[in-house]
Amino acid sequence: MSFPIPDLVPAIPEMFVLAMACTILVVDLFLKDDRRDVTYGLTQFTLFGALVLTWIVHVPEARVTFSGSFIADPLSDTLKSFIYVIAAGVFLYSRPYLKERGLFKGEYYVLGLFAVLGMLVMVSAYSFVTLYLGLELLSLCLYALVAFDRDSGRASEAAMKYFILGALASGMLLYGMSFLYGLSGSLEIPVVAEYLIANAGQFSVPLTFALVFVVVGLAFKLGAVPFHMWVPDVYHGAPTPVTLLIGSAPKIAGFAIIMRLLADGLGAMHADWQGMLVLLAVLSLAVGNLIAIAQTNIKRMLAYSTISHVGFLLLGILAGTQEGYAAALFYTVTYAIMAMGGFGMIILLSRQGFEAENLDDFKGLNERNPWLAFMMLLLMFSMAGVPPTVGFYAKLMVLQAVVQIGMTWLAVYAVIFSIVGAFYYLRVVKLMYFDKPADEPLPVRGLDVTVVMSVNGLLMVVLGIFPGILMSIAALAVGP
Amino acid sequence: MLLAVLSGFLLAAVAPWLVPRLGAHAGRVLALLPVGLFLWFASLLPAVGGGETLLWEYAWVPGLDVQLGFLVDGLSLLFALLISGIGALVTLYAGSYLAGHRDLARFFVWLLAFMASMLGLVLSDGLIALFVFWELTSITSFLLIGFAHEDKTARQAALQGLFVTVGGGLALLAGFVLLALAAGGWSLSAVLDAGDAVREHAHYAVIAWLIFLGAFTKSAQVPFHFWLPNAMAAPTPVSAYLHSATMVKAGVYLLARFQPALGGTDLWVFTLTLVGAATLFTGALLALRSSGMKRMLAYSTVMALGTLTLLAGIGGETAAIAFVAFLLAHSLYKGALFLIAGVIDHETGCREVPEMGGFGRAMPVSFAVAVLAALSAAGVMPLFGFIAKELLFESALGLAAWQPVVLTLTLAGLVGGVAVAAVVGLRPWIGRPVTTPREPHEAPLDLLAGPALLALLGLLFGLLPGLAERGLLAAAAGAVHGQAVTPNLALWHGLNLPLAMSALTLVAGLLVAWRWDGIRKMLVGLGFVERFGAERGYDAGMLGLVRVAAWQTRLLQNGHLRYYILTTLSATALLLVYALVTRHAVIPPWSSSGVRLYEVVIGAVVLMAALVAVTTRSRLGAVASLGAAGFGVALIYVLFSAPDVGITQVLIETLTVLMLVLVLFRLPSFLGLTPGRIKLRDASISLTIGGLMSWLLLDAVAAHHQGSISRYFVENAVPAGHGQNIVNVILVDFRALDTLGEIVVLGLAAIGVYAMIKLRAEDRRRRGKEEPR
Repeated sequence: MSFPIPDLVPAIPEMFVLAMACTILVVDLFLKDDRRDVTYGLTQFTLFGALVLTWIVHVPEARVTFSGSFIADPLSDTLKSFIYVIAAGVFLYSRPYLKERGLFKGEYYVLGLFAVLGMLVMVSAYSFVTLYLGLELLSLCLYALVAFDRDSGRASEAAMKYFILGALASGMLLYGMSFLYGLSGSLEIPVVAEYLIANAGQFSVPLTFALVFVVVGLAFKLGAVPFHMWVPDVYHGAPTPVTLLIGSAPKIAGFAIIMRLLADGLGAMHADWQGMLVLLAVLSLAVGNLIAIAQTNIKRMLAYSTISHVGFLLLGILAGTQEGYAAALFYTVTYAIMAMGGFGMIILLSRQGFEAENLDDFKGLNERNPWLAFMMLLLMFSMAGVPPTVGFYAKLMVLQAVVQIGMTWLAVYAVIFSIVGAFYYLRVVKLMYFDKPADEPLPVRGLDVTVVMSVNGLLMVVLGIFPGILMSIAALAVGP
Repeated sequence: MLLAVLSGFLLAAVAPWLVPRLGAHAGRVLALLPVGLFLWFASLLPAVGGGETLLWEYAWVPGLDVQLGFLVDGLSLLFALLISGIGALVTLYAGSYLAGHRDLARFFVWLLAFMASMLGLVLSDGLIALFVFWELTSITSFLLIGFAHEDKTARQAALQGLFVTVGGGLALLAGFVLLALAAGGWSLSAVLDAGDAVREHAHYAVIAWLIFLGAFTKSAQVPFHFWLPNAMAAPTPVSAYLHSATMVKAGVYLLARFQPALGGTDLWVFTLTLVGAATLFTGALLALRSSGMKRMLAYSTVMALGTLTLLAGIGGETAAIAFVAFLLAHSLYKGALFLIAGVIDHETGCREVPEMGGFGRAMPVSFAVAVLAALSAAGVMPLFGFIAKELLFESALGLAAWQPVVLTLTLAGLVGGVAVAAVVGLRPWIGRPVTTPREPHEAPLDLLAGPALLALLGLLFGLLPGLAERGLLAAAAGAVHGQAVTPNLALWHGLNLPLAMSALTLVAGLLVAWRWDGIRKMLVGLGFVERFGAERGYDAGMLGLVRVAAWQTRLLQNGHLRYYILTTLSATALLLVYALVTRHAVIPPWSSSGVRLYEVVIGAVVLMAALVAVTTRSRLGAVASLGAAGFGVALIYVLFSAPDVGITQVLIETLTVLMLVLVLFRLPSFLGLTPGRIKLRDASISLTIGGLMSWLLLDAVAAHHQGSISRYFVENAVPAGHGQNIVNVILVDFRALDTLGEIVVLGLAAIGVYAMIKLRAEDRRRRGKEEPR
């Protein structure tokens, strides 16, 4: 029996991140608390290095390695780059917050890096096993991170709920994939796809079960209604830097596995899963937008807004066209950047012993710090989908994709709930610009955080005025 | 062209740096930009007046095939001239009005940005660009209203105005997407060329309604009229500029713009004429009810917007001419009146009309300007407003359907309009001087230049209507009508019905103005307007939304994990049923042949055990019967020649039962806490899932999908693995890496456990040392 050595080059970024995460784990052990910045620096270096490596080994063609279970293609390299950048932003925002609360520990960075590794594996997964491996690596790190602040009862409760529900959903996804394996005899996504194309039009009960379980698993990971219950509790319960991490980059990885599993793997069954996604999208848009109105906690509000954004994302995917996938990718990346800014702002305004997580904490921000208020205004307008911010183009592309496949009613429905959604985003703007501030002083923040927040906010406008950049990236990544 | 539109944004970007350096001259210097723009647009007059349509194109978003195109025809040029012209006057005015204000620089940033957005809106050729500028005007206007937010009313108004206009904007976006699809292009030019295709499109009604929604919200039409007067908390120059001359006209601009493509259908005519007439009437009524000068003017603006909508709805050549003439007239006189209201506020400190009187002596110039503007507003003979009003009557008389209703509402509304003009134009100036917070004195030149110029233009165009007509109005009316028109504006058309109607409104209006105090008290007494008004509807809607949201939260997000799991499972089951039923799946028949007796017996035991487990009242009994079910399953494994799995199952079952018994031993028996309703719910969910799984099982048994893998192991165990025990070979050979992985994991876990035990021991030792002290 011979074991061929797989082509390792396409996986160099993953291997680099793995090696660095292990190194940091060990290095951190020997660091005193006041030298912890070394861990932070190494983490940022890892992300930067991985970004550079990704583009050094990048080739325009898709490369499959590890016996057909790993793929590096333009889609994966693009998504990975976004993941690095967003994760770097997350770590940057988090540092002062963690320091003030005695949470500035190596575990946060090591777990964070492993979560990034999980996302990378998900993005490059080309077989069920790799996909599941990446997903679980990510999920396990996130479960642990949610409970990271051990003294917080709320965080522990959230972590417990997240873990149990997450395990349930993972089980369903795995169950669905095992059916597919049983039917097609292969774990490799392209082989499964071929099997399904060859047997297109033939209905079978196990295949339906497989499809439903896969869709349920994915819907849970994304947080689509009615599999969304974990989202508000976890977003609210977790320490804000962890919420920031959960709310941003994993969405991109989630988009990736949807692309690999539904679009590539189960593409032949598009007509079947389209109906289910319509259902999920319709529910997500309604529930997410409506419940967000009732929230007084901004973390919970953003959690529900995430749910509604997932509804939009699903709209792009269910179109099943290249335009739809490109729109969904555009939407995902835009959303990840917006979420990063939104949660980043909460971190920025929080200080020791005070979490700026209630809507009232944003009152009169314009008087206290007009620049930050303006950045938040841009973020909120972008989330609401108001031009000239980039959120508008994200919505527009998705709507166009939906209209193109003839589902006009769905587009109109989505717009109606965007209007409802606009209400709670605009309410934040109104609080900042019209209400009297509480007399709490704002914390003084370092230059790095302020600069990143400014870049983050202004990016909304820059990408909104020149959306062509991101659009062509999305179109290239999704392919012809 | 690109520079013309963007220059406002560019200047806005440097304004924070520029304004403090200019000091008191800031307004005058910044006004140079709109003046320059005005002159540049005016230089386009000859070409456009000759019937040309100018187009500029820039590539913008290649991915979406979005061009940044600018289209200049009569209509957009009319708007561009108004925006830049009044913009210049307002900038000048604001420099003096807000002199010394702490945030003057910020104010100019938003004002200039707003002006640029507004120019972009009326000049854009692309639908996307138009929409972008459309929402930009909403945002910048919000920031401008927010500028004077010491006011409590401003705070309440802010969210309302923003939500109504932004929400309407999103509806407009959906309308545009559908419109572009129907017309086959994203540019105005394409839409205007594809009029017939759009009107016959299957989604025409949806498109029209979505666009109406956008236009109505922006232009404060009934039932969205309430946000505009509430937005009047803004500084006066802002009110004059945004809420009378420019932004609120964006909605009617849109209607006029799309009239050649969308107009002329029954839906279009009915909706717009009725909504327009209703708005006209409501605006007049509410204006007479108010006492604040700006509020009165705001409602009379609502009235004017209703008139414009009405005219856009009627369609045809006369209405098109009336539309542009009224638009121009209204911008001139309403701008002037608003600015005068600001002058009064600035120089006397008065805002309420009933508290004003006798200012004419101290402020003669302001008085003259106010009278001139008010005469135009009332539609008195030599002024331009008169011509516009005549044309309005002429168009309304030409209406085929609903004419009596529309005509009555229009007449009644215009009586109110005349009354408002008379009250605003005369009341503050004549009569006995009253005591005011500030001693009345004439305003400086910067404040007076704007209103005076606007009022004088109203007189000039009235006396020489050909001046406006030849250069601009003909081309603008042509753009609204969709083909060239030959207007013939004149003061005197002979004795005809419109003239009589004009006279009637004038007399009646003056009567109303004379008895205004009484009428106002009476109208205020009619409290029902507030109880059933649209604003109440908005508030109730918002409250309802919040209530629904709170109710949904309680329902869906109660915080209990078991409900989350319940929802997840039942949703999965529902999805499964949905997927199976939509594909008309059938349950495969089940044949009892080949089933042996002891299989039936074991099955019955398992079933019985499960039943006992869910019905028993004793915890131990439940655990024991669950164990019985487990052993039954183990027996089934054994029967189907999988002894190793069977043994594992037996071991696991034993262990579980033992552990559960140990835990539960001391707990009391069930107390029957679960009500029957919940039991029923749980039973139905578990039965559904169980049924679905049985269905799957039956189907899986019925069809064999893949070849068995056991043959592979049988064939390869000896040649490849050199072993006779196949299970053994599988574990150590075929799945050697698996096994290795398992060993590694177990080893790691063992190290972890060891570390934890050691830590704990150390901990205890340390604590033991500490305790004696």
